Amino acid sequence: MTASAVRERLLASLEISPDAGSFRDRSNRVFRAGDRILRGVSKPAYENWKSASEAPFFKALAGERKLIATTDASGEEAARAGALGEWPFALAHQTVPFISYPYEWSFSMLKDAALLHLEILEKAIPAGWILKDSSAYNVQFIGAAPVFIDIPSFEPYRAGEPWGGYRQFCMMFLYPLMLKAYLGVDFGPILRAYIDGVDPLVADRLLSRSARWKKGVFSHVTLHAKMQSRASASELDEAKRLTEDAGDAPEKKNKIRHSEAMVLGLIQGLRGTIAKMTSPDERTVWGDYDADHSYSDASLQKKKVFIEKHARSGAYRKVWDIGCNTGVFSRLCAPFADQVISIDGDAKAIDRLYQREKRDGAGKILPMIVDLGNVSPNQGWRGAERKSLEKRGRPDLVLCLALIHHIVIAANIPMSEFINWLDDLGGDLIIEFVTAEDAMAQMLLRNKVDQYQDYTIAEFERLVSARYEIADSEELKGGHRKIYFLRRR
Amino acid sequence: MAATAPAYAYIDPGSGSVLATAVIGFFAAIGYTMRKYYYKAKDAVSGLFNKPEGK
Repeated sequence: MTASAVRERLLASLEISPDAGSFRDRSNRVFRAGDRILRGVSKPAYENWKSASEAPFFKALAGERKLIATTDASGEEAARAGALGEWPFALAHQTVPFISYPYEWSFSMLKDAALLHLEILEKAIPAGWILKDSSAYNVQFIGAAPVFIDIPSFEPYRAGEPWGGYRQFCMMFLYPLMLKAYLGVDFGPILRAYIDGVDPLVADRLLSRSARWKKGVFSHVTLHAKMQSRASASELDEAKRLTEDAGDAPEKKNKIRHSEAMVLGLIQGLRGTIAKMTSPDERTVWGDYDADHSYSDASLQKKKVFIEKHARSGAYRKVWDIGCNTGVFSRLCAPFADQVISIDGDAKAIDRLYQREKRDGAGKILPMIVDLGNVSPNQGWRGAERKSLEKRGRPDLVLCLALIHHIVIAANIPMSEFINWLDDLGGDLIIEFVTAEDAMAQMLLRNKVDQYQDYTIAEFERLVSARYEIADSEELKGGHRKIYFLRRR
Repeated sequence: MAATAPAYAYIDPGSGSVLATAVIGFFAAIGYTMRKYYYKAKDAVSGLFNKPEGK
């Protein structure tokens, strides 16, 4: 067998493939090897990691699980056989159970990710290290705990250099947080469109009028945008001057010296600004948001017993609770699963769930804001840099409780389409059908032309039966609702 | 074609951000330095009055 054939066979056995979202930093590349995460690194990046990981600040952060657990994998077969391409060294990272993106995070999640980023910088700089970029995608959540994953972002801090990640930090963390805290605008759809963050000029248009006097707006938004416009104008003149006839050369890089006090002062100032931010949602009285359902206590108990009975079988390691609201049923399933992905389109409910998980969760629930009528798509470079929800994992069990009427009636997605989508997700299904006679469905129908004649229990059962076996069912709310346990055929 | 490309395509929006960090950083450094000395002075003063017991 030739060497290349051996390598091909090894590659196939290890299921190694480069991650489509990891290419911007030329010093390394992430590879997936089955369930494991390997990172091919250049010699300088490897040496940086070796010496940074010995530093007390790094060890302390890693000990607090604020940095993703990382080991040297250069001696592993995959690295030695060249399965990681041209990279001479390799690192292995703890696998993040489920990747989420900033446009799926709630306000408190983005805020905690921002504060983690600043905390790392504040500890790294006095020790002689800095992060080379400030992408919000470098933070991931394991349960409700943010963890920094881009280990090769650590590079030696050179005295006199500016903080190179400032602009990106503003665009990906600060401005989106300001939009929510100061204007009450959810940043999710904005960050989904601007995957590299909100440009200072856009932030200026949005914030400089109505939030002019809010903390941080004058310096980080208005002034920043002004400087950008001025620098752009002078660069435009320069670009026009650089004709072949003029024989001019571009001006040298700006050489302003940035002292350590300037860099740390800037970082501490941002930390103060962000730490004080609150979401307008938090300021409203939560009251009975958890009890914001139309069940009597007895019916709710019946529903809980039904779900627990089927979720506790032990067969379900990965549960997706779609339309989870504040996560009452996610929390019910968490003890029996390794991981629960809790998805809802309501930013306020997800923030509430995140706060609660942060306080007393077991680290199994990942809350995410996703509009179920328009879930996160494949996007970015070649449509592969950021993956659609379905491409990031598959559930063993899906909970779909009191959701179908929102999808079919409010979002106008045909019932057969929705059931096809659930089937495509994979896994068994616990689903609650809300009849058109139910008071909540009636509310949704109130201002609609009734074109939902096929929205009946009989049609629902006919559609699901093609794909699932109805293993169990129970009527709730006096027959206005029915909950099913459906086993995949 | 490159010779006729619009000059607008060569603007680096990051240049303004570096200038902004210099201006904001200048003021931030004053605050930072003052805080640092304040805490140093505070520690020194409390050190004078809170001598460890038995010494």
